[in-house]
Amino acid sequence: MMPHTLISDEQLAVNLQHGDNQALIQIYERYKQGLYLFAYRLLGDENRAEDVVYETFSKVLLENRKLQNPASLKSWMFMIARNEAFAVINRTKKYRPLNDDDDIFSEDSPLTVIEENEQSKLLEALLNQLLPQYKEVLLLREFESMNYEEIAAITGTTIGSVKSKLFKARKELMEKAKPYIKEDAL
Amino acid sequence: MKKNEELLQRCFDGDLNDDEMKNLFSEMSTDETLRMQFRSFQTLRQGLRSTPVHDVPVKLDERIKRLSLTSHVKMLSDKSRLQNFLSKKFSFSMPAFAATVLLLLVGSYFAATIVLAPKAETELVYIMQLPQIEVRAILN
Repeated sequence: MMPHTLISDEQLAVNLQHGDNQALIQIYERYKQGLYLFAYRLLGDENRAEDVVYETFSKVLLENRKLQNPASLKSWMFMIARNEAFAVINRTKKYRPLNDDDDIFSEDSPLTVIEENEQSKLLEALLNQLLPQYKEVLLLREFESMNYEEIAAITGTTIGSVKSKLFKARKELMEKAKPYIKEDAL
Repeated sequence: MKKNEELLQRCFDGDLNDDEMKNLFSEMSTDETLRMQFRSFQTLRQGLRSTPVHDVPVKLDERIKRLSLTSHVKMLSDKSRLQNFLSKKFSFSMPAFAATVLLLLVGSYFAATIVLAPKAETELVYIMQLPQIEVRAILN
């Protein structure tokens, strides 16, 4: 068998579509960290993130015939994970539709829990407070290095909307982080 | 979003061509605010990418391994099993399906009206009661 890294996503998806369940393990090994962190950062909860990733792979196993372009396996999986995560968010009623002039943070910062000068923890806390609609585009761009088109496809929006949300999220995150970070850092 | 801000973001996301890049850097050389914003974006990206990475729970690894060992049929609910069965065994195109239905309808119509229909009893016509017809028949 070829090492995991030598097999393309497309080939793995095709193998899975032909009933090779071992391909699922290979896909899981390749994307488990990215999908888990994506779900964890969207939901801020380990157990829910675990369930979202599990549901994602259940669907990958059962519904892989729906994947028409095997080369877009990664985007397809992130789309499933995103939809699963938003279903959880909807159930917990943290979601509401957006207006342009909305505050993009879901609550005031509990920054007292952040240790001084721990920039990464501060940003993680701020990221957790972003509304999910902004958080998802930022996560897909910054952590998965996806382009605007891929993000638009995954989130079911337009490229223009992705650009606008990304800009707003970055700008507001910087504004929120500024008072708590060393002057030369931001 | 202003034009320069959009260029800045697209530059940051690797979405600019060479000419656009040159224009942006030319703008940045004279625009202090834009330059500061670029630095802020960079710092933010570095900061975000240094946020803690949470390991995937071992429990999840085990669940996925079990999932991969489960055959498709066992995992499906009755409903989806039926759907799966239908999609595999009875896959056909819509025109073929429509033609089959049409054929069945026409066939059942003929069966009902011609083959299976009870034979009509021969109607007795009392010619004597229709004198004009009788006369014409004789003339012809």
